Amino acid sequence: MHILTIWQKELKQFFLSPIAYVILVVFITLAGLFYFDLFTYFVQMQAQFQSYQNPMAMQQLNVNDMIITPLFHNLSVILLLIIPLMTMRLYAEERKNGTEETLLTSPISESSIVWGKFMGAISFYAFAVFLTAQFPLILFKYGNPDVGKILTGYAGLFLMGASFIAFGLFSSTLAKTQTQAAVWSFFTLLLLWIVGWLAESVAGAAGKVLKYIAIMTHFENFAQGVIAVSDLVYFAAFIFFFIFLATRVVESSRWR
Amino acid sequence: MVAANNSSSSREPVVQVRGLTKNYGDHQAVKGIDFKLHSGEVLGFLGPNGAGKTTTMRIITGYIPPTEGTVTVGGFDVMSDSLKVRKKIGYLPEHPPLYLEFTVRENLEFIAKLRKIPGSERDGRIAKAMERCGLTNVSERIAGHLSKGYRQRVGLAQAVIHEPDVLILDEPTIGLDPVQIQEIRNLIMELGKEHTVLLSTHILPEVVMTCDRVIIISGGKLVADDTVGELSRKFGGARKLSLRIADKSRDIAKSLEKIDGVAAVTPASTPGGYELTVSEAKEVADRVARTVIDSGCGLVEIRDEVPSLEEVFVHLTSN
Repeated sequence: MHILTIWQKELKQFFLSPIAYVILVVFITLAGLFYFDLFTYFVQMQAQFQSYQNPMAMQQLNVNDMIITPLFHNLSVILLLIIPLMTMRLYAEERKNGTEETLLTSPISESSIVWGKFMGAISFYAFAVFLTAQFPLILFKYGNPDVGKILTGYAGLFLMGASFIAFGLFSSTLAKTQTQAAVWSFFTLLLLWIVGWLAESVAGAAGKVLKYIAIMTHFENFAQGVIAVSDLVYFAAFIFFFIFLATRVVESSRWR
Repeated sequence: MVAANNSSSSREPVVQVRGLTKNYGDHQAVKGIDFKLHSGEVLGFLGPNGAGKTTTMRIITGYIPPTEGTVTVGGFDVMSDSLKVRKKIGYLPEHPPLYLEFTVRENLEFIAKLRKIPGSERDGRIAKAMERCGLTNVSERIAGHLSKGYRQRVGLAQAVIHEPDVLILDEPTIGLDPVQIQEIRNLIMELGKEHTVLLSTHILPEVVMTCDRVIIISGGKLVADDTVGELSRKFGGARKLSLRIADKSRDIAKSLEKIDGVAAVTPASTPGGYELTVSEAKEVADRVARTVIDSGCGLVEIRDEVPSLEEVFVHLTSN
């Protein structure tokens, strides 16, 4: 019940804040630019391959590998930039406004506050991602895209975004200002990203561990159309862990 | 008032604070204070800025924990039964906690839901809270566009919407203009008829106007716990009159000293001004005024000096 109250409030606040619209516009514009780039490249390649008159090469050329998978990769990069801006205000703003005092002196549990906020943010995020559905849909007019791959790609994008939001929410509970929250979550998420590149060049068990830690590894399978239990476990553990930490930080004002 | 106090002492107090201490690192903000708040009472919580008022109130509301000591509200401990205590309390922090992008009604709707007021009663309760706090005209205004006085009213409406047993109001008149201060005081007096109120302030006359009983805190320690009548009696003993005359060339100190009830006369720093230490301000002021008028010096101003909070402290700590 209470989670819904907070969830509703958060969604309302998202759509009343100017920054939400800036985020939506930037997200869709960037996604559109990437899509346009991939699409025109594909059309160029198609024209080129046709001129070679090589049916084998034409087989290689398909919208799934040349547009959809790379598009999901590009969208995942945009998330890294956008999500810290979405989550920075989640708790830091309550603290600045003094409304933290209202929440913590109301008969509501800290976990309801944190989960409600998390749900509010992922709902807004789901809406932003939903707006990008137009891009793969356009492909159905020109080619034969793989529906399964589009769905798993979106599932991966959703889970990765939710993980980023969980982390962003955690930084927002720690931060004194919104800027601080955004900077912390951006750099930490960037670090988790870079770990993936590092894993490539590190040999042995250490390399494997790094590869497992890196968030991209787990998104990769989804983008390729594969749903693996280990990836689901990774994202679920990531989300629950940071929501747990965020709840503890909120509670800490009661015993600090 | 005294009778009410006597009868209530036998009852179980609504709020009981025992040996409350709060440390922030090395700094001790509250140093072992005890007091009780009885049902139906309006208790003034007085002290200069930084005396520990906000800290004490935050502990009572369960926002922060005490370092030592216990607080019970309606018999429940604020630490171990926090949720039950929170249901009984309506709290207005020093800065009214509003979502500035929401309208007044949206703010109250959110609080009503947080307070688990059932959907069927919600609109009625919101309307009642808005009416009590004079917000009906501004219900659709965005909170961020309201004046400080109106924000304070929204804060009060939020605090009373669930009809709590105890209202805790942290400096509700701070930062308001004189008209707004008067309005908020009247509102608090109205609310005091139906709720038990703990009201913090650093303005002495405010307490005299709105409260039944006063506790005074200074430097984290409780220095007084009295009814308002008792407090004014204590300070009624030696009052001061401030006097100013038009003819600055004449010195009337001698003739002032002869007036019955005037203990001492000292010339003030401004020309034509005098400070008089008097016994019972009311009758003496009459005689002083008459003397000045009869002397033909021209009465410009005569003022009953209300003891400042600092003077009250000096008085209280010297006793």
